[in-house]
Amino acid sequence: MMDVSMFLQLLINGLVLASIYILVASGFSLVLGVTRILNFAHAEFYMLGAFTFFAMSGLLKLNWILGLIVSAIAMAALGGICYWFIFKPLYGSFIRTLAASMGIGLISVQGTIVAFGEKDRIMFPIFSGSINIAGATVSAEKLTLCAFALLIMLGLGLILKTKVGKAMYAVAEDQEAAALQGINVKRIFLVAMSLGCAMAGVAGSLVAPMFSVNSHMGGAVFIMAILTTILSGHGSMKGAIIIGSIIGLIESFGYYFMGSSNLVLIFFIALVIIYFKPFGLFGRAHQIITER
Amino acid sequence: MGLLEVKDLYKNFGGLSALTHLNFDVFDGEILGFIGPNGAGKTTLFNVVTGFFPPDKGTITFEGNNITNLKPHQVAQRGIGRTFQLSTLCMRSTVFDNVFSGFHLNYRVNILRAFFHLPSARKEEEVMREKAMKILEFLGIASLKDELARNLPHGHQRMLGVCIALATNPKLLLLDEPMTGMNPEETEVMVGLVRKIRDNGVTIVIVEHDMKAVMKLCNRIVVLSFGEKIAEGVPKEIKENKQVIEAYLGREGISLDVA
Amino acid sequence: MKKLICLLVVGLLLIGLPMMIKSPYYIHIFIISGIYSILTMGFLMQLRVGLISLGVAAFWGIGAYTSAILTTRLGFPFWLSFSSSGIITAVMAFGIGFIIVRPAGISFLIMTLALNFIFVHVMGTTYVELFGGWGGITGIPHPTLFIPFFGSLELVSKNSYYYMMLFLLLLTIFVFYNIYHSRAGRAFDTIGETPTLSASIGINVFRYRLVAFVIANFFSGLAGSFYAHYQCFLVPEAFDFWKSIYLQIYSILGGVSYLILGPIVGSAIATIVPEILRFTGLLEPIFYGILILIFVLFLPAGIVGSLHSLHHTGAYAQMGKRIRALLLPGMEIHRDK
Repeated sequence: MMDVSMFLQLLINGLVLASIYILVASGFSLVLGVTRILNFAHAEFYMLGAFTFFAMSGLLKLNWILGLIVSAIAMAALGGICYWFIFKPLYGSFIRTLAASMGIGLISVQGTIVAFGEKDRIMFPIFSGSINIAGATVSAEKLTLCAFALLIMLGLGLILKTKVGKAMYAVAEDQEAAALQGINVKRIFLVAMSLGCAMAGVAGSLVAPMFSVNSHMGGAVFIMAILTTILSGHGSMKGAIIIGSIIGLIESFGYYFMGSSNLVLIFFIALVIIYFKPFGLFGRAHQIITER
Repeated sequence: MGLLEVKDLYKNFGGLSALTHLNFDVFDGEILGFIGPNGAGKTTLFNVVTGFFPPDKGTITFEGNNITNLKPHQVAQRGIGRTFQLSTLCMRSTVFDNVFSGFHLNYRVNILRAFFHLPSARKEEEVMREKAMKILEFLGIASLKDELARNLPHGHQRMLGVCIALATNPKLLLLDEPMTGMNPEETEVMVGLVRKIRDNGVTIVIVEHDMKAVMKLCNRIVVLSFGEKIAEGVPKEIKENKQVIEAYLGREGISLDVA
Repeated sequence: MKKLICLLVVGLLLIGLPMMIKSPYYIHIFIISGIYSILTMGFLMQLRVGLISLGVAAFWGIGAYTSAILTTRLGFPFWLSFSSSGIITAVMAFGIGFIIVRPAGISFLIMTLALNFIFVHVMGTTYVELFGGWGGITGIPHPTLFIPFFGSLELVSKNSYYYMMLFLLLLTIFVFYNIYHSRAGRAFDTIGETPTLSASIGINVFRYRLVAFVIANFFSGLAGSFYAHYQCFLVPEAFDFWKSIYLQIYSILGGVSYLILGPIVGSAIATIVPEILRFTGLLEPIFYGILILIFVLFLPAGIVGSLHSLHHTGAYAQMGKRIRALLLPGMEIHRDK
């Protein structure tokens, strides 16, 4: 079989992947659950967040905490702008919203190619050094990422308990009822969108020092994030954590056993799950109505 | 034997029991009314009978056949038509197209012939167009035939819903609050129309809040409260039934005393 | 009557196109645009019944690879592999559709996306001798048609491909048009707009959706076979899920309500505009993205829709009247509507 150190390596790698997917998927799920908007460019906020962090802390040598904050705020602002000027006018038309988000994605990807070039951009690790656990060398960077992801998810949980958070739940449940209760639905949409994009941006920033930053990094994460959202049932944070972890671990361990076919395995499992539970494992049994 | 027989029906929604121990029959040629406070489970009942939700327990029999677990389109094929509370019309189509779509079950011509628009297919279509016009005339909205469904006032949209259901040539018609949002004149018209439909050989089950209309229209009434049947009988009996009055006590605007 | 004349004129133009445009490069653009038209029409048929598919490229790929494999690995003649690709794609669409069409909605959307992703990956990494791996399949033969009393005809020139594409496009249009104007088409409309009502009037929503899914992807498969024998080589990345996504954009450019004209116009714009924008180099996708946003925000009905409403509101008639008034002052031209 495999020895303990290999197992731990794969485990940590899996958890790193899981953390990324959970952060991006939670943001996506938040937006989808609250606003019913399917933002195909969500993973590009991940990528843009990474570039922002790279520009701040990598190029301008800003302190990494500041870099993270700038990145999060920038992505939140960008997400808010996209919502206000693009998604809001198109609200109600699912397909046009989808197409618009693809337009945004195209512009983002190509924009970074124009601005930063096609080459991968490498950042130096923020946390150098590594820890030795049971014979396995685990980089401190990876552990920090997982820790941060955990912190952020806890933070999200706290936010959801506040008045704004409760308002988001109400809107996600029933927009009309929420409006009748005096909740400004559009503003909640704005908050949800900004928050979701900020989370994606932070995920990207955390990843930047560990792997390289390039314009196409959103694509790889995108599919997994969406899959996580769908399999857990959109709107379910708890589900996103569980499913995201499973997917991350399967991808990591799967790669060891079957190379790049691990993705095919994940998809087949997803197909099976969708067949029996079309609305996700933890989602509520309502369906997003895709009327044009 | 009833046209429709519902025996021992139960339906839960995530812990909330919407229908409990429901038993009733619908007899050929009658107009049966369902009343009850909001949330009593009337629409749920329709949804279960027409196959949109499977019941947790119980059987539904139509014309002697078990239709309990059939899908909605199969229930429609058996001859049960229904209308909906919320507008489910093709908003972007005209009134005529909406009704015409209801004839879907009536096509007899082979699909290949239809594909090539052979004369037999076109003839059948002509016949159906005439039938559609007849239905529109029957309900008195023929003049609106080219109007877009979404431009219709609420009352007319409801009537259009009834037209579409009639196009399926049902033996049993379930009307879900057809008079909601209608003023007294419109309600009168609707009452007359429902009678006309019944006189044309369609058995009717109607859910309504408008007590006056219900008492006028229905041969028998079933009263639901919290998913259970609390009374059943002719309008006179229901009016005087203590339990029914209690269930409605304190509800605004509902007066059972309609002379 | 007017419509017929319009169609005739357009038809003649299309047939005479290769004689007017001598550059093989532009003929190539038209051919590609034609392929995308068929794919987009397939996308739109699924959209009509409420299925948003981001996997059309996968079925396009299935058709392409089937045809390529049948001819290069198994030595099938072209006409046999062409028809087989269509049938095999349809069968696979039926099998896959049986599982994913039922939930419809977002689950369907994601599953088609996943399917597309899996397809590219499987073609690239498994059974490399059969599928060609990431390098793909090369040396796919040109189409050879058997004409009775004439012998066999091998299509090599761009123009001959153009006519074959035209034939395929017209066949697709013919089938789609007849379906849309039949009771199935009416059922599609009702299902797309109000599935609940459809069920209550006896329409088997699942069955019709599955039919739409299979037919749409059948033609995508045929288009794939054509593509394989046109390019004469295939790589898995050509069927990337982004292609499926672009189809959506083409349909919006044309106008989603125009199920046949929309895709054709949209695909034409989408293939020609990048060519025009090519001079902008790296910025081209950015302009393209901006174009999409402009269309989506300000021209919701697409090109065809906007032209159509201009026509309806009489804007053209107004323009015509004013021009006539300018050129021929004093002459009143009375014309019926």
